Amino acid sequence: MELDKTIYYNKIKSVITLIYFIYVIIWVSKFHSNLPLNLTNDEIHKKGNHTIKRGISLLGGSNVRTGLSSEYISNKFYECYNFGISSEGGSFSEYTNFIGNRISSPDIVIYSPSYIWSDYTDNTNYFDFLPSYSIISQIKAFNTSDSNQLNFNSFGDQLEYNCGDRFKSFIINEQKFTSNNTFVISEIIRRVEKIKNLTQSDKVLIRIPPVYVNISNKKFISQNMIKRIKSLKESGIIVVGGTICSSDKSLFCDNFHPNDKGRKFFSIELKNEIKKILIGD
Amino acid sequence: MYFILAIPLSLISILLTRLKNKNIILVISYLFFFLSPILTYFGVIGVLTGFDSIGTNGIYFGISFYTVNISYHLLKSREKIKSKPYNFLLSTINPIYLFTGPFPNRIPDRFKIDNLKIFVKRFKIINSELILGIFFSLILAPSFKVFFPLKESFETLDIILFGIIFELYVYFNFAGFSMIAWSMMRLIGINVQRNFNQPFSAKSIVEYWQRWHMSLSNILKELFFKDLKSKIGLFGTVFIVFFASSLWHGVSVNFLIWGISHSFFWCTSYYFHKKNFKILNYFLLLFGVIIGRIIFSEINTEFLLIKVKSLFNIFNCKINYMNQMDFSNLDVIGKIDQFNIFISLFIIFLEIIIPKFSPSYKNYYHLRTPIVSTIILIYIVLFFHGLKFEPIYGVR
Repeated sequence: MELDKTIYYNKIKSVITLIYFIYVIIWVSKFHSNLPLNLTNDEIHKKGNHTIKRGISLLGGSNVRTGLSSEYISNKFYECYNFGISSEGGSFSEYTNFIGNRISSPDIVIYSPSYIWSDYTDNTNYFDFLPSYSIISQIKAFNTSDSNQLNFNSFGDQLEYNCGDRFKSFIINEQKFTSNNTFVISEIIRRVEKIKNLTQSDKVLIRIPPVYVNISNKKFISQNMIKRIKSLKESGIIVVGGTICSSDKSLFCDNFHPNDKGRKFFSIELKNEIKKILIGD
Repeated sequence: MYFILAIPLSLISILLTRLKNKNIILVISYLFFFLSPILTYFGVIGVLTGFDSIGTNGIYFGISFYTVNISYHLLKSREKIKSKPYNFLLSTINPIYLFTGPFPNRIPDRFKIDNLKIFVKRFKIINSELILGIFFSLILAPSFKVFFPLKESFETLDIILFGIIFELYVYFNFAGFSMIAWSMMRLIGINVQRNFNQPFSAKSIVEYWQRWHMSLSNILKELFFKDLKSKIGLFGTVFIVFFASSLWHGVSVNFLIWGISHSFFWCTSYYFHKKNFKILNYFLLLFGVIIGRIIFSEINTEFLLIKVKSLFNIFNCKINYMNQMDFSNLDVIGKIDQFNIFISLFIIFLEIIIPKFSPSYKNYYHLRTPIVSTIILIYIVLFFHGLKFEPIYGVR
């Protein structure tokens, strides 16, 4: 009897597992775009086919999408567009497909890679292909007309971005710099070269996305990031100055994403840093 | 990448078994045990506070596990290493246990993955353990991260609350990944000891350590406890065992204090047991586990001292961070996390309660029955939102 029960439930388990695998196949295949919670496609769709042939292009992941304002930067300055979308950190090749036909010979490209904060050497997440939204969230989103509230202004900045006035660092994701810098640096250089080829711009500048860190780790983290910046500069990469890490919670939503106040602060800071570089030229 | 170091070290240990001088083998086997503490001391590898997930230099991946494994087998299974060197090599560098254990305490006679039918048969039996492991480590454990900012607080109640939450996080993560590793090793025919056996069913600290990280406890018992007990007595031996364990976790002040305090708790618990002080023993268990976890998690000595001082300041109990946390307006994932925490607490409750009524219940039997296992699988499939592979002991 007990054995029959086990066999019966094992069959049910097989069916359940099969359902999940079907979901995974949908997620990784072309059917992916039909899922309601498909943030990257949604962002690309909502950003439209805006192309930029001059001025400043801001490239990067969610730290650019939420943490920089092209509107502030372009005020009495170069035309500027925010190309930040959330997938950049995860899939750079997909990101280059996105920017490839939208940017052509701009004056300046600012690339703000969250990858620079990576602590990995050659550890690849072999499970990246698994869906980052649960089946239940997808079902819920099918029934919700306004599931995605991402909207952008004409500068590509995310609208109505407000993470509240409280710091929501649910994960203390503090960099330990236990690994060698070489791997991270060579990856950034590779990306810069690719961006140069794609955008036909010879002025691709790297900006370090500012992060929130605990005050006790600030010195350690800054010192280590300065080493990475030094290595980048030695390889001929231009790195824009500015805040590397801050312990001011009033500027951040969480460790990696500035809030509205932070967005204004870091945008003005970036604008001033670009001005400094241009004067230097 | 880890093969670069793991294979030569395993080969050295195979060659060592050819030596006739047993004293040299003895010294070298203990050197193997203390290799990862030495590397920690020089900053080559990190410490195991529970905050470090995968991300260290790939060459040193699993070093704290396979060096201990080599040490154990050099002392206990020299003849087997001699007769089955390839099996020893394969079981030592086997990546499955290097993420989180359990240590393979026996060198397998052969790796039985040649017959698909047997493999499927084994899977039918073992799948409930695998499902439970996935549920613990990938669904329940990450939900506790919402409370991690509590670590930054120096207020008494925040510190205690963090101790409890972090204990649960470490438990679900570590026990879950151990179950996954255990099931996978069983699937390929490697019989290994379980790493956990419902530690919260324990009635004392002594029993707790018989149920927590059992494969390491077994190795420590073989390497230190058995030989030393007759020479320096029980309490001295327990101190040395915990000292060795603390060094294995990391050479730092917090682990030293952690080892000393747990050896003290263990001895006190043993005394209470002898005197039949059951209630006192249970309170000591709660106190020891929470305080131990607070010490375990804080690598910064300055902060640790402030926290310990604050713990003694019980007349000025305050909650700081908890008040600041905003649980209103949670998104879908936030709500799932909340529900997961509720399930986790219910599982702990069952773990405490069930053995009181049915002492034969062990090895999470109540969560591995066909119907419960199926319900858990449905839950996993419906609520699983991306895999962040973070075995907390898999940093080195």
